[in-house]
Amino acid sequence: MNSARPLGGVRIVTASAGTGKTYHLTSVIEAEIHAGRKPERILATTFTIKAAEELRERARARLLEKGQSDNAIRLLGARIGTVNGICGGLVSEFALGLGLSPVAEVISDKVQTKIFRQAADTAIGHYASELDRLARLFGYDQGQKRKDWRDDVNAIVERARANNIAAEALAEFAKRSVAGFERLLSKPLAGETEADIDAALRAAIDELLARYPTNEGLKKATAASLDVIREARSPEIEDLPWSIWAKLAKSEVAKADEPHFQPLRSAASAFSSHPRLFAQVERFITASFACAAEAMQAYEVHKRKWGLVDFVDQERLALQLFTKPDIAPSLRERIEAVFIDEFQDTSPLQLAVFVALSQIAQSSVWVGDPKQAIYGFRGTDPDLITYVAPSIQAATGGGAVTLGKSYRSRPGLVSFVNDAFGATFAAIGLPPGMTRVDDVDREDLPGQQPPLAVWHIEGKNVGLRASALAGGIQHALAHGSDWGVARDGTTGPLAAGDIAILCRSNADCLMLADALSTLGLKVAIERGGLFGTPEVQLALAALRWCADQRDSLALAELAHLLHEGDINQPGSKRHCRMMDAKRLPRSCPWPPISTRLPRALHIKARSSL
Amino acid sequence: MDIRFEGDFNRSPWDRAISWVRCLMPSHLVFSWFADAGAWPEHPGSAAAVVDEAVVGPMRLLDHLETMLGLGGPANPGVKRIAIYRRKLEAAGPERFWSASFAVDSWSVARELLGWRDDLIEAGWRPDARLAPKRLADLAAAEMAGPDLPLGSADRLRAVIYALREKRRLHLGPIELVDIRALLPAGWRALFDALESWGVVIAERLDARLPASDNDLRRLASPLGADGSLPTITGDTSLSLLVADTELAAAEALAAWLAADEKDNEGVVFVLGKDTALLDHALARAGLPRLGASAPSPHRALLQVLPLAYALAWNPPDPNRLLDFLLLPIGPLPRRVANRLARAIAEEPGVGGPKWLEAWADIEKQLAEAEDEDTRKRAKRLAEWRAFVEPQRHDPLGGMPRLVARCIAERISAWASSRFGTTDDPLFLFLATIAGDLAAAIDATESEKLDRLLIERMIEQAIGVGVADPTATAEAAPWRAVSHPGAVWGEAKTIIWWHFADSGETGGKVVWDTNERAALRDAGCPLDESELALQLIATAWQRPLRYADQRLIFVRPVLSGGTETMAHPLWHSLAAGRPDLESQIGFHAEKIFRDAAPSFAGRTLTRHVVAAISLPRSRAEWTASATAISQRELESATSLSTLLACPLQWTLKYASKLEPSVRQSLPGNDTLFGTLAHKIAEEIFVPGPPPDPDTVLGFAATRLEELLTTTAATLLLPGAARDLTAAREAIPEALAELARFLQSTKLSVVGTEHEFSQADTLGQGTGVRGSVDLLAQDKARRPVVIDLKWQHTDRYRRSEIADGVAIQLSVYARHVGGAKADTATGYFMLRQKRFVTGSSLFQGEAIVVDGPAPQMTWDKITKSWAEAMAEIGKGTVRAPFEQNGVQLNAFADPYLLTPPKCQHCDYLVLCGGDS
Repeated sequence: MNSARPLGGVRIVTASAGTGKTYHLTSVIEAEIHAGRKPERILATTFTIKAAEELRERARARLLEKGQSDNAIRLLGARIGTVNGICGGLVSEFALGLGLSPVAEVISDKVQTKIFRQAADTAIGHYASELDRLARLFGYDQGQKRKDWRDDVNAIVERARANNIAAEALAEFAKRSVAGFERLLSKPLAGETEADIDAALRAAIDELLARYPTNEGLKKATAASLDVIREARSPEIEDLPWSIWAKLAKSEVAKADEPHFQPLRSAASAFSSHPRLFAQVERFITASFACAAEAMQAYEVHKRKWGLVDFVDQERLALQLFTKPDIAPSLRERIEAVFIDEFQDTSPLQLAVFVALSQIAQSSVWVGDPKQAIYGFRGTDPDLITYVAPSIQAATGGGAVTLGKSYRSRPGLVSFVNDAFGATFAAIGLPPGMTRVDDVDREDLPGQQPPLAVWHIEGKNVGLRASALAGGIQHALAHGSDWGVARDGTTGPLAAGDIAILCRSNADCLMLADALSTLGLKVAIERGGLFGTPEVQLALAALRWCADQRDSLALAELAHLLHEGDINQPGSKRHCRMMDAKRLPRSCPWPPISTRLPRALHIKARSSL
Repeated sequence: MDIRFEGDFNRSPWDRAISWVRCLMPSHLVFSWFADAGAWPEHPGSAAAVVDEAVVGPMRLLDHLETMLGLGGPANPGVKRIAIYRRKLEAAGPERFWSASFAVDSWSVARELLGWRDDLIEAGWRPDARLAPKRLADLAAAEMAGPDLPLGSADRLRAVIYALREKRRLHLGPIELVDIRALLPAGWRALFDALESWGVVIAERLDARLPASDNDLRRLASPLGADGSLPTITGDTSLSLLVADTELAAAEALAAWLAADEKDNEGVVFVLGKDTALLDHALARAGLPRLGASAPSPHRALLQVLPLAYALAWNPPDPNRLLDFLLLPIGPLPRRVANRLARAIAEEPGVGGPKWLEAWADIEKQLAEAEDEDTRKRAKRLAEWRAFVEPQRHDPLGGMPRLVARCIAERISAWASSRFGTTDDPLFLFLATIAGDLAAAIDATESEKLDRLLIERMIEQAIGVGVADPTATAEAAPWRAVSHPGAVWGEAKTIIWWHFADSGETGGKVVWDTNERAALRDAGCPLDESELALQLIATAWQRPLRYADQRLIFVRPVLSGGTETMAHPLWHSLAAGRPDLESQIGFHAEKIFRDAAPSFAGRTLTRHVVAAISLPRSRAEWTASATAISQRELESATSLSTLLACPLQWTLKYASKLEPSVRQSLPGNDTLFGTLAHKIAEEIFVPGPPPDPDTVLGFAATRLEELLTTTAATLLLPGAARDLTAAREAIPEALAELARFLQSTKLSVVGTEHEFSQADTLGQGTGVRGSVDLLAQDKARRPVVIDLKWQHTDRYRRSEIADGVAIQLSVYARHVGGAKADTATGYFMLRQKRFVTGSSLFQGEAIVVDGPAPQMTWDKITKSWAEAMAEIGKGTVRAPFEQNGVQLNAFADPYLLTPPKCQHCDYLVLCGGDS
């Protein structure tokens, strides 16, 4: 990284939910503009496009309210967007300075794996024979959800790239990984060889099969275990997957058969100290990392050749750009003030980008809330704000601000959150000063109930519990005034639109939504399965028919979907909506066709004309 | 307009030309930066029509002036200009600021730099000014090097300015500027300066009037009160915001609003922030005329002919692209020809394999039968078709020769031209033109070879301009439409701003650094500050607010094309300090689906409840007329398996012959492995003693390589290396193992793909036909049926044998061994390299599964078949979808043998089962 000192200090703002973070950001933006920063030279990153839009709107509104319409117009030229968007934009703007194509087609998440596999094809081809065999031995192709070693390779590449680790360094990581695995294995018994362990298993299998030539008259458990054993007998013992070794080691049988299976279990459980297992794991790890290194280089060449970049590239290349001395003056002319929102969801690479940006801009403000770090699965690291950010702030001489007043929540809720989570966060190294909100702007209105209630939901299964919760909600709505909600300074009864329900999973959401709608409560929920709806099936059938009029199946579907059904059919799914009066009632342009089968034959005859 | 000719033919040709031009030129122009695509009012003055006056945007003004000055010429396609500029950059030599990027993607660099160069030229840059900053010096060097660059609009603007400076005569009336003159780009300010110096009166229209009445519109458009307070909004319907979750609902609500008072629609002006494809549908449904504004799109199906035709000319051959090409709704091959070839590809992905050759033979035969043409003409047509789908292929990095590349574009251009001649479809004309432009641009590169990236970039450029939907046409309407708010320059009774959301028009990048700008300024080419363009646009946004006389409706869908829209920047200004504005003037479009008489923007909509339509329900039992479906003369093992799992599927597929179209996707790699193994097995396992395993190994390895291109080319594509490696190892090994198995069990080969057909074996009137993968026999000449399978697991096959429902094996056993023979059967599982059988003969050499003998299964089949047909004959057809996913051993039914496999069924929409 460039050793240049930052021009301006990094100010770190810790802002809990509801403490006026966006208000604070727009105030700082306004102050920076007031202090002479050019509005179009402001750079602000947010986590989502929608958040960027909100920030832009509110910052402009603030300038407009202050009568600074010229600055509000100029702020339209500012760089406000997601980290990727901003980095991608700057990389494309300075592509010629970086020796890149000015047209960078961004690889979306959806096609990333496909493009990676195409680019890394030769590397994958080099290792396919060996890794395929090893993966089979590790049971990758068994079970309901088959695994693919290429996904492992891709994962290594992704992690390496997200942490800016070079392909050449991967061999070292492989060694560490092997050493880590070795620590998990049992040591072979003294004098025990590979051949001894194999022979013992083979002997145990043969003995059992001699004892039990068929499953006839055997208990179910014993018969099932014997099926596995017969399977295990057919390949050479060297080709026996380790998952089968493990399975044999845990063979479950009827009580009466127990003693006969003990030798097998004991022979098979030697797998954890089997020298071949370790040798194969070592080879698997080493080859996977080697393939990843080769694939990574090939992927880079491929992208460069075809003018492609992915999300990691946008940040990686931006970092390269920001640390290029000959481009720095141009960047300084374009970026004067930097604002980073949602700093707690920052990956190590992004942190490097922000630090580099702080060395370009005259001022930097990083805003975040360690309590709200939610994107760990995307490679972000909340520890960065906990441990690294304060050092950066200290090193750059920037200030630190904690927004300590809640404008959103009732005092009781704020206290509850302070008390409930303060200790937890302290335990992971966050001092109370960074996590507590001490001041509350709102006051409880007369007649408002305590802000927190605990409902004990009973029910044997999740379905019943969902119904019970839905019942509670229905009751609360029926007695809305018991759950008074603040509206325009007065207390009003609880309404359906005031309620949000947090569920653990999408499946829970659906179940609860079902339970609520069963009680006649309307629920807004995102649902999948659009293509399975009759409306879309109808549209698809129509499109297929238009594309190829020999598609007699599409025609039959059209006839079926348009004419099946009866208005009086009990229990049918109904949809009902208001329509323009002029469009009613209009007879169907198609003659009625029954869906009885001979008609289907008739359709076929017509369609083949 | 005065069109008298002055009869003085003694004047100079120039003077005469000027006189002609004067006859044609308007003498009063209104100029708006945004008026090139139409404006409101459409012409100056209040009369219904005018002569001698016009509203123009920059391009139309330029056209006018060029005509008056005798300049101008045919338009130069962008793709050709870039191709030539690319050569200029190349000719400028190495060590340029673009050199590293140029080596990576010369086309995109040329396109980018041409944009920079054009902007500089427009601003007045003179390449001979010898400016010191490197980037400017390098661009100047490119300008001097290589071939002449065809003129772009910046060159044309400058040519007009220079022509004016050369003091040519110009007769032009006053020009009124709708925009603030100082906000126009430098080049255009220079033009107006030059015109002014010739005495042309240039006047800014300063009458950006406010609406006369005291309503929300006026209040919103007014500046702050004297005390700095914002005027209060009353929600008086002069200003409305129609918010909709989706563009569809927005269109429906707006159409309903327009239909609610048709008489009052006169004088409505639309500002279109987006095309009107969805709105037009809603208008048409409401019985109103369509606006017909269609945005040019490069994604029109016909335009895909161009990239796909090139995609077929690269190595390795890509059957996916070939299938795409063949399935294009309109393509160079007639539909039946394309479908026939597509079917071949869908079965055997590759060119030149047996299915492909068979398809061509069919096509030739059909052509000969159907057409009366002579042989030569027929051969010519076939050759034309073949040229599209079997072009010579080239290495993507090495590139294809320029001539070849040009030929492809020309071939498409010629085809599209001829189709335009017969169909009059403007899309064909457009395709012909862009393919022609592309051919010219390919020529202009003068490169010996063009690599794939370059060709694809050029195609992108050529079709990137896009084409509007030719079926979208404006219908006679009481309203008018403009495409930008800045094009409204006079009063309109009602203005509707369709798609009032951010369209991203404020994006732009700063190319030049301070030192470069200083050098340019010193050389008389001062570049505009970036905020100038923003101010020009921001001022234009205000116009609907100022010119709407009675009502302004903003229409904002929250979602458009699946993405969330962002608020229009004008909304920021309106809502600043008015947090409640949206609730004061907003109306949610979705209300029209719930309320009987929703009201917004001064109109009440009449809505009626639509009767509920019940949707088709899943149906497990269907009725047909008795005897409508009769038994077939011959069944196959597959059709029997279908019947005995789902009679409805059998009825629709085999009895009714309801068929889906050509398959839209190619077979997966597992299927291809099976196909390849079958083909090789057919060749190597000839009747007699089994071949030696090592011989099989060698033969299979060699033959596999030959078969890949013609029958499984998808395995050769980038991304398939792992599967290809697996195929190369597993297929020969599997077949060698088969040979080993035959040897060790002392079986000899009777034949492969052994066909049979016997009448009346199932019952009176119905027999079975089929072919056995490999028919062998033991020493006692007892037949052994071996079916080859490539499957991920053999679990299902084993349970078939164990449960006595291995229909295929037992059908084969019955038909090759006879009713009485004790025929052994089994599946040779190629992936697992083992034989799975119910026969104890192979104990120790195979996986032997306890289960009924094939003969017993056959008896079950005949019984089940008879019962199924009897029920169907009575008019009852069952769709037992509720049994989908049930394990074989748990399946119970009065006569069906196996649970249905709904996840692989094409007919699910009809029965309503859940896959």
